[in-house]
This record gives sequence, C-alpha cells and structure tokens, in this order.
Amino acid sequence: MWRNMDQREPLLVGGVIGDVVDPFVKSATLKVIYNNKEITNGSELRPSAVASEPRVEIFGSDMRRLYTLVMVDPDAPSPSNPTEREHLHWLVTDIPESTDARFVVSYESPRPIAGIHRLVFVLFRQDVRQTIYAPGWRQNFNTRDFSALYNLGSPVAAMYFNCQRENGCGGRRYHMVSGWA
Amino acid sequence: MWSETPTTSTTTTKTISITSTSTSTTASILPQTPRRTMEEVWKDINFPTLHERPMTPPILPIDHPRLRTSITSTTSHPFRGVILQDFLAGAFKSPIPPSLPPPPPPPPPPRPPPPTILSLNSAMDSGSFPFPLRPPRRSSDSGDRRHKRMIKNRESAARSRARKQAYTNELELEVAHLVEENAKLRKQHDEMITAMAAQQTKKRTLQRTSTAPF
Repeated sequence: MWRNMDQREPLLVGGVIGDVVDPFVKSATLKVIYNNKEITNGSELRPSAVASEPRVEIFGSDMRRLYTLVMVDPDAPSPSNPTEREHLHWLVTDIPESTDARFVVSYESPRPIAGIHRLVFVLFRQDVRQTIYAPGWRQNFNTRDFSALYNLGSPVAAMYFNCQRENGCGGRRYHMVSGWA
Repeated sequence: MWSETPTTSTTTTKTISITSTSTSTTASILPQTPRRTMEEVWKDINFPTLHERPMTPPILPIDHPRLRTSITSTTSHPFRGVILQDFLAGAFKSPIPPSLPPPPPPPPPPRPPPPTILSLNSAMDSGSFPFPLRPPRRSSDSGDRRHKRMIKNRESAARSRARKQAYTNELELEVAHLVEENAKLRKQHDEMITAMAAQQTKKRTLQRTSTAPF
C-alpha cells in the first residue's frame, strides 16, 4: 500500500502516516474550520487560533453513515521526546447527526510549550451507532489500538496542522518539564 | 529469625536467611527489591565490575542494631580488608574507588566516582547533588553531550524539512485541484452562455414564424 500512495502525499511526508495511522485510502473529505477559516493540511496555527473547538464538515460517499473523529498530538510533550504520544485532544462519535453527535472527550485547546507539534485529525466511518468510552486519561492514546478496539477499520480521512507556543519559537532554549501549559 | 516467605511476584524469589539473635522482626526490608541471600549479595559485589553494573540499593538496613552484630559475625569473607557492613555504610557516605585503599572507612576518592553512583541519582537534577563531589566534565562526557545534541539537532532539522515539504506538497496539490476546478467551471460557464445564445436565436425564429403573412 505504501507504493500505491503518492510519495508526495503531505500526510506521508509529514509523518502522520507512520506515527499515527497506517496508509489508507481516502474515501471521505474532511474539512476543519477554526474561526470561519478552513485550515490547509500542514499549515501552522498558534494556540490562540485553535483555542475553541473547530467546526468539522464531512463529505462522504455515504452520508447516512455515522463517523468518529479523533484529534491527537503525537508530539507531546515535545517532538524530540514524544513520551506521551499520542495526547488526546478531542473524541467525537456519531457524527454527522450533529444534534446527536457525542463528544466522548471534550475539546482540549492545544498549548504546546516545547517544539512544533503536529495536531492530527483522523476520521473513521462507523458501521453502527456504537458506544465508545472515553479513555481514562489523555496521554499515550493510540489511534491504531482505538480503531482496533472499536472495529472502526482504516481511517477514511485525515488531516493535520502544526502548532507551537504563542510567542516566539518552541526551541530548545525553553526548559520544559511538561509539554503543556 | 529473620526469614521471609517468597512473594507472589514473578521475579525469582529467594529468601533472606540471616540469623540474628533477635526474635522480633521490626525492621522492614526495603520493598520492591529482590530477596537474596548474603552469599549472593557478596558474590555480586565485585569491585572491578562496579563500573558496569548499576548498584541496587542494599537490602539490609544498616542501622538496625541487631543486624549489625550479626553481619559481622556471619561474614566470613572480608573483601580486600573491607567488610560488608562498612562497605554498605561507606556507600552512603562516599563512593568506593576501584582501587581500594586498606582498612575502612574508605576515604573520599581523589578521583571521580564510578558511574554506578551517578545512576543512583539519575532522577535528581544537577542542582541537588547530595554527594560532596560533582560529576566530572571529562572531555569524553562533553563529547558525548555534543554528539547527542548534534543528533537531536539533525532530527530537528529533518522534522523541519519534512514540515516544510509536506506543506509545499499540500499547496501544490491544492493548486492543481483548483486549476482543474477552474477549468471545469469555465467550460461549464462557456457552455451555458452558448446554450443561452442558442435559445435566444431559436426564440426569434419562432416569432418570425408566427408572423408569417397569409
């Protein structure tokens, strides 16, 4: 499957495929909109721009189906030392029936201290309306295991953006103990 | 009698069989350590190999008065003039150099302590180093540190390049997609204009037909 995928695919070049998910075939379109602006894959946003939860639009071949969305940070607490990979920021199931969408894990604003983090959205198609339980904690979430546990299969879409601390760069000179403010 | 029953843990369980004159067992053994006999502890302590092995905390509480007497009585092989009790006591005061001076207590070594002591304190930051000595800034250490930093820097640079490349690729894909969409829409637009124009001419033809004179 690696060979079929275009080697220039941003998700592959950015390491999202590999670090978070395995190669997959896109069968839905995922749009993430913060402050009325749709974000481009791989673009950079500061914490202030992503403080509140985004609007998510899904265009799939089968709009009667329900979707599950996961948002994780694989670079927590810092990209050079990702001991908390993946840090779970958001978990929503039973989309797109937006009135019934269940926010299993509420949105946590990204606030990286050290380094430039990737914030990855992964979309799964559900077979049935199912009960998904929130994990006990946000650290060390594993998207692959999560998908296996709930039989969600391969992702149908994914996208990511980069985020670093508000002022200045999250470079080495900032001595961090934990990766989050 | 100071013997302990084996725990249910999966580690090899060996019972401590230290004979002492006491009948009560008030002193508690440090938890989480493997139980070993005195001989095994002694066997493992091998000064030339101190550099390689991380030193596990001694399993015997040194200050237990009853124990102290029993150790000296049961120990039958003092090692290079240092008996177990003093070695253990010395371990908390200062590290033992590989080349042992004669009788205890071992004086603070003039040379840097073995890495085993450093590993004990790996969790502490350098600001609160308990021993009177500080880790040395040997050239090999700073070389290591430089090497590690170089590797980290390389990785960070690779991540930065990947980030940049991923964004560029995404923009290129978007451009390609938008160009295609634009072309399609223009075509649609032109077709619609032509169709409208055809409609107009068709209508005029009809009108003319309807006003044909009889």
